[in-house]
Amino acid sequence: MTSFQLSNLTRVGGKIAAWVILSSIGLTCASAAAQRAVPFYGAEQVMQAFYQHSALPKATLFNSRAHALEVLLADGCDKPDQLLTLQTSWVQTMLAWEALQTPSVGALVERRTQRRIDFWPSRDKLVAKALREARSGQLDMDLVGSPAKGLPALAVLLGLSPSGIDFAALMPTSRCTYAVAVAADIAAEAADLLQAVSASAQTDWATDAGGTQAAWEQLINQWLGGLERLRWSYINKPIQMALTSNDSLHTAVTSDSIEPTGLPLSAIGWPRPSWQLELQAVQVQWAQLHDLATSVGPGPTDSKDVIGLQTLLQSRGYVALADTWGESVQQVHVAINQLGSSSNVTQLQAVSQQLGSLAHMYQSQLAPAFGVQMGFSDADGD
Amino acid sequence: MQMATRRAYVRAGIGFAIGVATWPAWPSARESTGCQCVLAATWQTKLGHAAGLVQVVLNAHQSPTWRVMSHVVLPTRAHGLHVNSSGEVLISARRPGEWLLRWQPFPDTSDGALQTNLQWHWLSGDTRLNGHVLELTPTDASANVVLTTETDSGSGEGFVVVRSAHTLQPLHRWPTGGRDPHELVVLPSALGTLPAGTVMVANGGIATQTEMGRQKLSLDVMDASLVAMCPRTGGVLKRWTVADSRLSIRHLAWNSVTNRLGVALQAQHDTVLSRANSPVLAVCDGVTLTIASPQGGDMAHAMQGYGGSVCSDGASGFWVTSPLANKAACFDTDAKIRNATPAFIDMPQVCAIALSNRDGAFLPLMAGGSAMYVGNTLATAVGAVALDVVQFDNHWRTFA
Repeated sequence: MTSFQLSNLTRVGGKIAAWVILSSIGLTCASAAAQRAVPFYGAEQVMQAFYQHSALPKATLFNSRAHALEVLLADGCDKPDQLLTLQTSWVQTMLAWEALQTPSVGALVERRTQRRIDFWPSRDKLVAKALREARSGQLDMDLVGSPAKGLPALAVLLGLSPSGIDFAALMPTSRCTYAVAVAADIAAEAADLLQAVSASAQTDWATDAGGTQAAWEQLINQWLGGLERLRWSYINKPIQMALTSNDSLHTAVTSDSIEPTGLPLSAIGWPRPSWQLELQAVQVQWAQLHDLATSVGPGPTDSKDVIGLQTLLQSRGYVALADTWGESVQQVHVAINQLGSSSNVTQLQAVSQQLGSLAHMYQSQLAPAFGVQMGFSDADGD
Repeated sequence: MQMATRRAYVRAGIGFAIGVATWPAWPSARESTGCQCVLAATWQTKLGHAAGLVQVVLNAHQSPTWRVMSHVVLPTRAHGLHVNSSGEVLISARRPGEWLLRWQPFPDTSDGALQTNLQWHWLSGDTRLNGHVLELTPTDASANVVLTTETDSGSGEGFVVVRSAHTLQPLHRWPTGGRDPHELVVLPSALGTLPAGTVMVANGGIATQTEMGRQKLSLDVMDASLVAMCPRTGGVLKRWTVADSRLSIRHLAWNSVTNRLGVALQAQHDTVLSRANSPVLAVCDGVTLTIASPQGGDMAHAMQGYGGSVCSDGASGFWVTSPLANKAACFDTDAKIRNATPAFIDMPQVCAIALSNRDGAFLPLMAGGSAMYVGNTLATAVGAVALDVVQFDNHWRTFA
């Protein structure tokens, strides 16, 4: 009897199956992890662990940092010696948000939080319009569009991101009035998110099989969505945009490739204000994906851990695939952690390529193993 | 550069300068005694994505061959293409798409100046490309414009975006009155009371959300439609829907013999059987949108309810491809399977289709996976670049 058959049998008895010791029969590539006793995990256990041990702590952290930023701005926005403190607080909030939104599931998707507080690039014209409204006392944040608020717009107001806005022409107080309003808007969203995520963490996911299955499928989908966002939106797209700009002097376009010729990372329009901050954002996002990909999950004595994809594969009998997956994830892990301030475009493109390969493996092997239809698939029709 | 020159280049098999690279000459094009067709296509390789010109050589006494004449690298997977009257190729990223490319395969380098032959445009606003693009030459003296189908990321509303043909920057946004607008065509002649120049748009009707990629949402409230839009104002002149709300209206093709519009459909029902029994083609005469008979009566010929692409058959009907059924089928203008030979062509993963004219005889050129069929004959790939093709994308267009 193969390990797959064994773990299928465990589904029969009830929602929480008996522990199964994976037999070495049929295992050609049994790793230490694979030989660990792995139970069959149902969607309800995956979601329970995800919300309790991953989403809730991250939502709590984001809420506290967003609130701290709002308070700091209200207290010291107009004090020049506070600027560095405010900028640091923005970075901390941004990184907490990056962690929470990777992957974006449940309330984050329903509330469209990404769009609400992280619309990038912000639009100078709309930010300037909001500043004028703040100056005239007519500011209504409900009427301000996403491109003029959220973290990217706040980065502009705090001088972290360059902009074409003539702040000198506006009264300094309007800048602070608007910055505080934007921070309060972010903090309000963080508070609402925390409430929603707390409710999900307290949910008994075993009571609604259909809803739980849908939530689990969304989690499987959105892990890939997070990977694609990291690969494309944060790494590859900014590079491609820089390389294909028609006035770029750094590009050699041939019939075989688009090759960088000394394009400095500082010349690329990253979603975050600088390459240094972009790098931190990339590494925080990857850390979340890595955890969800490889976390071992609760052991027999219980632990506070999410049930990772590798464990999930093992629990469903896909032991060899679990091993290959784990190795592939580790290769990307090493590559991303080697990125630094002296990295270059070629190195980033190599990382992007590795992420692309991982995404391909996810779509072509993991998704079928989980029986989930992917929304980020590059292989379906149109 | 005008069309005649482009054709002359292609026929002569002369090498072409592109940017800093030079295309190789193709001796076989000159040596061949058969006719040839050139397609603008996009495809996937092991390393990424590419667009290029594909030359198909048809010999009376040999099996057809194909090779890649030239190619350029793309940042992501492409979807729709359009070849304009100057021989430039417009390419749209697959939905939700973020780039447009104008590729000029034959830049004028006669003055010795180095010209870029690639014009990229990246979307940074709140809409995403839905995959299809065309260039419109107004009948009056106004400048050409490029039309793209797009979705507003915030509202989910569908738009035809009118762009400057020169800069590719958006000029106007025309609501299509539905979600998920996909392919669009400009009527070359009148269709019923709709005048030539009318823009016909297939509203796919499927809701999506940017954060969730291409995941289809709320299929129970699909709102697919075919709309006719005024090319000057973008106003919706006419709108057709189908009774079965789970049929997504996605691809369009004009038949110049019968002056009818072929409309390829994709079923989105919950069960495989319901989808398999669904029609894949409707035909519009300007008044009525006639749906093809369900295919379930003959499961051997079923198209699995998935019309991947559509083109005229050069006579009075349309070819529709189905990569799910591994089959292309030929329909008449009443949307019934044609009583012709062949009415079906079996080909694995077939999707992209265009028509070749071989001595007045029309043959469909089809791609499925990395293979090409000319009619029901497998064409042989020649050259390293052709052998690098892993999968052709969903559509291609006749270039010359």
